[in-house]
Amino acid sequence: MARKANAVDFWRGFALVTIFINHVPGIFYEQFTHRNISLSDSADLFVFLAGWSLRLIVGRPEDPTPLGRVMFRLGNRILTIYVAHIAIIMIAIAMLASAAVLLDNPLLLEWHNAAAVFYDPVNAHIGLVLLTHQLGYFDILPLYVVLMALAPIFLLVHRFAPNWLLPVSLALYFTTLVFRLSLPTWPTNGTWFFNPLAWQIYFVLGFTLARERGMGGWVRRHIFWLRLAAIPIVVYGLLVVQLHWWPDPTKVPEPKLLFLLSKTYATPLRVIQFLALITVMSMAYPYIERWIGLIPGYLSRLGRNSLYVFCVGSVLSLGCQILRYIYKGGFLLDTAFLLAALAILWLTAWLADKREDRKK
Amino acid sequence: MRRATRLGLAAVLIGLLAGSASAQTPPQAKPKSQISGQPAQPSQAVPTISQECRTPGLPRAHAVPLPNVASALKKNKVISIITIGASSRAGRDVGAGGYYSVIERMLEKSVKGLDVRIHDRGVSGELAADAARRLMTEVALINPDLVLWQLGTHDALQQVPVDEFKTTVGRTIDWLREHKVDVVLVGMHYIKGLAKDAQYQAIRRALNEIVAAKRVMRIGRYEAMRVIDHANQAGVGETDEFTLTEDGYSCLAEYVARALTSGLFARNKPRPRVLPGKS
Repeated sequence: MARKANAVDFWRGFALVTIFINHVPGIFYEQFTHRNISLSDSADLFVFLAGWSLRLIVGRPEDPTPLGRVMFRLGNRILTIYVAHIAIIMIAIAMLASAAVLLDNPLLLEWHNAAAVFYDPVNAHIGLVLLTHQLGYFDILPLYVVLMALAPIFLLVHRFAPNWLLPVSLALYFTTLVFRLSLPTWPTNGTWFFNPLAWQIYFVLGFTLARERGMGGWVRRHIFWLRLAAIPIVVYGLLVVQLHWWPDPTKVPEPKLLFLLSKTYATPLRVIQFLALITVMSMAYPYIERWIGLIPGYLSRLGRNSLYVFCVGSVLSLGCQILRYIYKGGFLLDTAFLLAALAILWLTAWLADKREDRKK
Repeated sequence: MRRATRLGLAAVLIGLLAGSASAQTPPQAKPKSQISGQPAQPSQAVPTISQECRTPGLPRAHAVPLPNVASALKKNKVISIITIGASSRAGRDVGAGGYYSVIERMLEKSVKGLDVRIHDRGVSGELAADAARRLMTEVALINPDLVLWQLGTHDALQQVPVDEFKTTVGRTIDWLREHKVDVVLVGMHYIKGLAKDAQYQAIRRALNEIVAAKRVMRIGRYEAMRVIDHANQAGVGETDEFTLTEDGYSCLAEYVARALTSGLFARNKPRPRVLPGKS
């Protein structure tokens, strides 16, 4: 039997649905996702919960999984995510190519940073395999691959010096921001949209806060006061997004990335706002479960099959974009697309659950 | 139609609609420099155009000045450019560094001792709002003299509301100017199937209105590609939509370089621009 609905799967399902909506620019429902009232968005939540789930691999403190088995499972997971990423980008490239040919519109070949794949295919295909060339909206899984590749280091630190894990992560994070470190893209000039050296902070925070000891335990003990402190930060985030209450980025002191708002570098204000947001929202799940019975079950099913759902959702979002281009969008069409997509995502998760049940 | 002829026609229109005086000026002409109050060396002012893109006998137009680029040039002969809105890997024969490296080489060749630093932040298919958001951070980090922004095409295809597009682009241009950064806009692509598309044409009109209201330099790619298409329809040759788009990219670097150079030597008080291809 698949595990019961729970808060972590619920919020991961929530992140998956909102990522799908955010990846269809212009769709009517885009204005209702939480990025319109928050400095952080579903991507932050997704990566944080990926770190949280890493706890399942390492086992409980009193009964830790042997290190060899942990490393084997991590390697297996990296391979699975990598293969899933390559599969969906190939499907996406084929979708763009098909749409361009059928609609006689070569401009579709340029969507989502795909131009290099068609205009410079020799180099771009090497880049796709090496993850140095990424399609827009298909760039979270490469980040996930790198984070999982870094995970053995994090887990070793955690196993032998658990209190050092967060300081090590913070040191890497601030070094990245101060010295503007990033991973380059190739053959296009530029850097990764999600800088793994910065975004690892979410991954490690998720892992650290999932522990019932150490910082995770401290947070649980002081959650009431932390929520009180978090509310003004969440409100300030809302004002920054809605009223642009943030200093001119050219006027901030050096090192600038400590003060700028940047998704690529997951800059401190974004991370702080994200932590405040989840601190406040962590109280919501019991009420949602009690009052809106069907939704936790639906989203939890998506959340516990997150890789499958993410992959199908990514392809569906591109499909929706192409259909919106053909049929020009509109409220009714957008509603039909969303409902169809939600049904397909549920079916994907249901099939994955069934497959797991059969294995057992 | 032979490729050289098609590219020649593209050159005519791109040159005209960039408002680039130099595009119409024969290579031997001597534009008056506003830099350091010294007359520019003619050989330094006009980048050489390749044979297949060269188009003689164009009528004269007026350049839009690029005061911040001119000032940077005057101070230390280093120009820093951010390119955004499209990938440098698009188009035919991109080569190492893409077509932005061609712009860099042409500019450096055209002005003696000039060091051009292009910071390529282009993502193909990116919407103007996303580019604008990234641009502010990039400007804060790089402190450029010029932004070269390709925009409009994908906003139209993704059904971005016209007013939202106008607001985003207008605000961003104002913000860049407040921060002493010049802007050159590269206009939309021409596709036959979109010639009567209401959304596509509305975004195109909006872009033209922004250019007129804000007095910014625009590279008129749409009009150039349309001329090629019309020539094809007249039976001169065959071009499909895919070839047409590649041609649009092929001469872009050269005409951007020429337009930038003409902007450097333009008078600071902009005169009315000639837009012969405006429809």
